[in-house]
Amino acid sequence: MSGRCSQIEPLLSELEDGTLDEARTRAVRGHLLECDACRARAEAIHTIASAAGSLGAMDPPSSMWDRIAARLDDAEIAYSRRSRLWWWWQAFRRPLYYGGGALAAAALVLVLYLRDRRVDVAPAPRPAPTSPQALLDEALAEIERAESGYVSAIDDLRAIAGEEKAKWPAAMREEFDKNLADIDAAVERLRAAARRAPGNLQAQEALYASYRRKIDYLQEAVVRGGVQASERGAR
Amino acid sequence: MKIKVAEADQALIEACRQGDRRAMEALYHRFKRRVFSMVARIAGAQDAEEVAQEVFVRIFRGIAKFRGESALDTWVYRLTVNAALTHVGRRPARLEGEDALAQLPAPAGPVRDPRLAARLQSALGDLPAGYRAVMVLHDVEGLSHEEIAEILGCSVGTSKSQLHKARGRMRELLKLGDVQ
Repeated sequence: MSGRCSQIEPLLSELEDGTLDEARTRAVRGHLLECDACRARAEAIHTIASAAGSLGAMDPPSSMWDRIAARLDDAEIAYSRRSRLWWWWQAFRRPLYYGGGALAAAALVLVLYLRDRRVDVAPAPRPAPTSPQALLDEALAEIERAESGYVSAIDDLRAIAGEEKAKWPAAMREEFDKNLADIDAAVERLRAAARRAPGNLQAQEALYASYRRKIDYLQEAVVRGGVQASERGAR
Repeated sequence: MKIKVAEADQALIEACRQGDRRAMEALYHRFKRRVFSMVARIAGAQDAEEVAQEVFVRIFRGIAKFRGESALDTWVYRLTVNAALTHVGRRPARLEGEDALAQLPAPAGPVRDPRLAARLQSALGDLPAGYRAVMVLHDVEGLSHEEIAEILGCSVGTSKSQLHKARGRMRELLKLGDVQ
């Protein structure tokens, strides 16, 4: 292949597809008029592209939809066979999130009240409706009320996990205990931080997020354990 | 995020998301021939039905997460090509290049040179899978390089150069365009 042909050859496909710019189209066509080898290559590409374009679409077997529908049915049936924990969680999670949201909103109102109060009180001290300590106590009480919702959910889940755990493989039980200990340690750290600064919304949200993470983990662990146990049972 | 789904497709997608079996069947009938043909030509006719079934199951499972970043057709073809190429990657090497495509039923569309078309169909199986995918999408299915780039997640330039190489390899396989 000559130097010119080497330059032309990579452009033959684009010439066939009509995607080459005008200047190069003219140059390539000019070369094809005087080069038999490149003309033969261009014609071959045209033949291949035309033959490929003439290959029609193929019909799948007429029963294919029935088989797909059967697979979809099987998947739906399998999905409905969830553990009682899953059904419990579906019923519980929305109120829990809404409750968390309402408490966060209440905490925000409290923080705004504390901030505004400081501005009002500074220039001309006057008897406050409530002492700062009382407001802090109120903020702490809010955190405790929010926590009690999460703790109650976690206690229920731990009770279910405690029953299910006996069916899990030993390695899974060990992993579960270790992970739960790590999560508990994180929850404790965030709890201490939230109590040190009861008006700090970020600290509160981090604490609530850690409770939700713990709930998610317990739920996942029980479901996963159930699946493994049923697989072992099937074998 | 730019939504690229045609308005007419929105209702069909929403109904499929809700699990409406009639909508799912309508979507199946709309894409069945193209999906099956692509799969048969990229992954091989012997496993075409199995892989095409898998493609549709993935479509119906994934449609809840389909956010319209691409057109519905492009999304369906992306799932199709991915499933077909994954299947080729998993298949034992001895099946590569097998002449199974030649045993496919006669194509439904018009064929100007039936013998060449049959040879080409057979030779497609001997192309490397990546070349085969680009050639099927461009020359057989008539998609643009822009669409192919979106489906395969590559640049337009890569799609063009892959097609050129695929056609060159096909020329060798069919022994076309050799001037002594």
